[in-house]
Amino acid sequence: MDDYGGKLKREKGESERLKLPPWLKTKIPTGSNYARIRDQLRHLNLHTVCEEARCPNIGECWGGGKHGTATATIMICQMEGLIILQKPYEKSSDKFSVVSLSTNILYIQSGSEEFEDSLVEAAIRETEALRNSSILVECLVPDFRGDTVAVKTIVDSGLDVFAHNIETVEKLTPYVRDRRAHYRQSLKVLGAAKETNPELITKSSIMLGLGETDDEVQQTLTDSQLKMAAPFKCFGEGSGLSFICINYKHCKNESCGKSNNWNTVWRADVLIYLPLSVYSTVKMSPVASPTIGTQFGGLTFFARSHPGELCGSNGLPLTPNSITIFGRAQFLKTINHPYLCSYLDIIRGKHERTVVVSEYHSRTVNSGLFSIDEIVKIAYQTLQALSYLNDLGIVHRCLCPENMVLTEEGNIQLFNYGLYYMTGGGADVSFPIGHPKYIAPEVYLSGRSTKSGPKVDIWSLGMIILELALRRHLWSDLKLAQCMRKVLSLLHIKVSVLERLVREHGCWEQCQELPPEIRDFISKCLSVSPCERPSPQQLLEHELFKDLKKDEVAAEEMQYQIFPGFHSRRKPVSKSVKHPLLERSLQELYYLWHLAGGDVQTELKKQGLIRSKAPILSIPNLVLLEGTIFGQVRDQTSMLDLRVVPLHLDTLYQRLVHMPLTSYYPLIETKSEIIEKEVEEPSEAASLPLVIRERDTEYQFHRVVLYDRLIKGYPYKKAAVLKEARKDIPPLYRGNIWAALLEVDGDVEGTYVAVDKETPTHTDRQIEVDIPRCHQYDELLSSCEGHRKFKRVLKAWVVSHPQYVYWQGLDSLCAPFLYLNFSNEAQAFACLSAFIPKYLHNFFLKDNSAVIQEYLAKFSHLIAFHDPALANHLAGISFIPELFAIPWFLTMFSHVFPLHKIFHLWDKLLLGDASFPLYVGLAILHQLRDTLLASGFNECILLFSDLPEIDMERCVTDSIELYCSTPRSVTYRQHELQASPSTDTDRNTAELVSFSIFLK
Amino acid sequence: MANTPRAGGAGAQRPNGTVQNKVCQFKLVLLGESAVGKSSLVLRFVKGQFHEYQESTIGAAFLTQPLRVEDTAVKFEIWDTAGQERYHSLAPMYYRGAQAAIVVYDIPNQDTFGRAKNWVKELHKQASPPIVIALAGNKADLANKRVVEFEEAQQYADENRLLIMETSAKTMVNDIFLAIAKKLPKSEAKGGAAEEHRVGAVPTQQRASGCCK
Repeated sequence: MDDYGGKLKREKGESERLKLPPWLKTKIPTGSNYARIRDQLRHLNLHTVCEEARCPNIGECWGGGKHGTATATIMICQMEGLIILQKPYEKSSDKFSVVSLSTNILYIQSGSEEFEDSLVEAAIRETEALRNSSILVECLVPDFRGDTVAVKTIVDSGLDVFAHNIETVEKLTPYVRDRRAHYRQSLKVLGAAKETNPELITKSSIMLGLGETDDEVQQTLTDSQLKMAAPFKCFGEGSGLSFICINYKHCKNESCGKSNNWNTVWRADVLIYLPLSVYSTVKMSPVASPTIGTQFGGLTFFARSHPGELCGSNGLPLTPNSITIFGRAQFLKTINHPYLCSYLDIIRGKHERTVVVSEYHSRTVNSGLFSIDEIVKIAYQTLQALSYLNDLGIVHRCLCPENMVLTEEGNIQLFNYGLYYMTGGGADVSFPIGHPKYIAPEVYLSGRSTKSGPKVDIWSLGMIILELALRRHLWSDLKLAQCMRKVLSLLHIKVSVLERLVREHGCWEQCQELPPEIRDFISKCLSVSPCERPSPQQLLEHELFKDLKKDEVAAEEMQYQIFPGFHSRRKPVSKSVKHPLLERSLQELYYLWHLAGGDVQTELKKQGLIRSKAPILSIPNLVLLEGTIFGQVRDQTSMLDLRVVPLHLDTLYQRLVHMPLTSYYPLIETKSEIIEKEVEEPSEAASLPLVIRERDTEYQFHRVVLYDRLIKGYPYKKAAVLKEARKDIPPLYRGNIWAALLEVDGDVEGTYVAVDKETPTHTDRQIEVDIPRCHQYDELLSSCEGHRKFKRVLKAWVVSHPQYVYWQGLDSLCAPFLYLNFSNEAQAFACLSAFIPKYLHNFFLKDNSAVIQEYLAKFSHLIAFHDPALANHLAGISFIPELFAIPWFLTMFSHVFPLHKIFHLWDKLLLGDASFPLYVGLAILHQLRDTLLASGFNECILLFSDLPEIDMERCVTDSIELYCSTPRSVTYRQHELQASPSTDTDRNTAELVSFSIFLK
Repeated sequence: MANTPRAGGAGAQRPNGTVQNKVCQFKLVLLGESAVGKSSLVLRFVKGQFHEYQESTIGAAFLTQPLRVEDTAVKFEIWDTAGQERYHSLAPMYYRGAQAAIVVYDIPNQDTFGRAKNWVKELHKQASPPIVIALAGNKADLANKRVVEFEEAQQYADENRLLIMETSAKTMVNDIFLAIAKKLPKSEAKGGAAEEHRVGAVPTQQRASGCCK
């Protein structure tokens, strides 16, 4: 509002037309959906409020927005008691016509505030008629002058959403609304609807900009929330979501800015918001599933940026903190525990922004009242989670009710527990980590550089449990600084912290009524000295959890650990029937959600967590030569955003809604050949180019589901993995599939752990200078964590293969494996160790000249065999493979191509034998053939020094074709790894055959 | 520095004939310990670029750059070799027949200077005699981390009749190439003599000697 330079008011005497300010403008409705609905309405002679009132939002409602959920409002007129201008309603054809409207949600709105029996009847008839269709019905009703019987009747008619608008705050009601309408009466109506059917979704709207104050709006929100949401349980059931809309389109100029604020406040802490399209989807899904409990939450913060251009000790620029965080946070993705939200993704945005995506549930501990038993359960589960985190060396540090979410089953899941860990104990960010009220006093006392131990979380837990037990917020009206002072004041008191806090809030009696175990538990947690404060493990033995422990022993023993390799990270599901999609692992869901068009950054932008600034506004005022920047200091308060944006799965559900149940459970083992043949129906997508297949949601869904099962069956399903890999490999499981193709098996972890990766060796220097140059465009490999892992894996390989030495190029060879198994070094090492003998046998000998010479000679033979003209030309200009092909074969092309190309190349390379890379080399020459034939020595060598773009898919197809059409004898090598003869020939024939099949 | 049209083109023409249209072509080889910045020097000289995370060189890379020195068009054919000791056996293939060599070390690292000395020794022994050798102390921008003093390097260079210069691939490297170009004899006869030693002739020798020992 402040930024608007235009005029809002005409001065006296002025007569020119004023421009409409930008916030009152909307797009002209367009789109096929809009046109279709409009035509249908004209055809049926139906009229809608949307059009009659020239609603500015008509384009969005009818067009259906991005979810394609069209809505239209048909008005019931008081005079006619029927759909407006649609006179003889009772005609069956009309009923049909309503249903045939291509809307997913239908609003029925009464035309008047006045109550009329016929109106109710009409509304009921309307909803009942529509009940059986797939259309969701929302009724916007008057207050019926507070007649609860009328409300009940409406609710019982089976509508989906009950809407009644409060319109404005209490104070302004007499001026804004009809004099017969009352604020309290409206609340009563909403309450009555909720009482009649607690599952019902109730909805209300208020207008802003009529002169109300912030406090009044807050009051209205609180009042209406209580009415609609009470009892709190409705949150727990998940289906009875209620929400309030603040209609800021209505707001007048003065408070335009204000209304946006409210939009924020309301999202941040008042109610759960669920877009309509979600429940419309639920209704459409083939397996009835009333709730989508699982969703993703995105949050974002900025890393501390390095001042100016600084170099590290090696002369290279310092790694940006966001990359350091990115590398460190990868570990969090491997954590799987029932009481911890799984981390799904870490994304680096612009300007050192980090976006974290993790499992999320919109119900937090903050949003409810709990019985003592429930509180004990909360404490117990939190302690288990904390104890697990401590074992992994992670401290939560920002434990607060907002970071404790409740699952559908009512279990606790800690959220955002990795922030302190991934930022290196807060070192990589400039904001403090933790909620002032719940931070332990020793954190304030020690400096920022001191790392917090696990006991700070226990203090926070004590504070939270105390609040839950007393059912009130401590220090609720205190400002941040006062809060900190209060915490610090607890250091010097003579009585116990518990007693002090309770007396301060005047609830000593209430506290005395609490069970003594709880009081004891809380006061133990709130020991001022961290030495006296028990650890999570000790607290789990507390008296308080006696009963819970018994239950747990009786229940099946749950064993959770970090599953690195092949094991699924699926959690046990509850017995209730769920949509099969919900049984997929979160990682899979997230991956598919991405493919289905989900974009975290866009969602965050939509919710205002990412705000883009015009580039000119972020240019510094002054930059010194050495890089110091003045001006445009980043606002410190914008470094961390506490809001969590729920990322809804609805787009994904819609994409996969037509999937038959069987596709979730593909048949991978059949005894009957007939069935097997039937199962193997080639999908249309299979013939598409690889890059498109990798982005196709449905296709990837099938592949991911299938591979998930195959990998779980490894090594018994090795043959099947090989067979499927010939088609393609889904990026999500590439790491594991490669490991399977390389026949990695046995005690991978144990072997790796046993190798000495720490003792300095004389190759260290070479490894150290090579790593910061190897595929450093990639965020993972350029992170500090990445460098450390890289070094360990390379050292482990060198140490465990004394017959070999480190040749430059081994780093490139290791990079793809490390990238794919970033959180599983052991598997990366195992893959590398399996890959080298298979394809590069003896290439890493100290004296490898004979091996390489033979390989390159074979390459020359192969060129001559397939392309004599090219071979002659190259020989004529003395362009020998020694000059260009050593990096190709020594690194199996990993030194010459970027990672994404290597993946596609190796996907196929891993299916072939040691001679296959020769064909890849030949296929590359083929792609450059025309240039090579037309060039002399210098041009040729220049061409290879800076290899031009190679079409990888074509290259791979060509290689396979060449492979299949070449006699084995052409590529016979003396230095090849000699396997036992029988199996070798078997496999090679099998491969040849399979490649031929692939080509067909 | 005027760009001369790139020699070569279609078919049978042999582009690295030493003097074509009065362009003197010189073979130049870069040697030195790995990660001292050989590839970066060339990249800066040829393309004017600098990559912080320049990939390591395996085998060797080849680039050309024309420049004009005192009215003579000169074209450098630059062989940028792999630095790792293990690739040592490949080096003769590249420095044999070279008219110029730049031996690179980085000033924050004493070991690389030692290695550079070894290279100079080897070049004196093995390379074709009229070779111009330049010693480049790279990473001059990291002067605050300097270990190899310029005086020390200068003294060594004087003793061994080398060109010496400190360079920084981050900013300027052209001087060293210019200095080499000035020192190289540009008579046609000289160029003709070098003809025998050019890279194109390498394979025969190399087949005899083996490339990857």
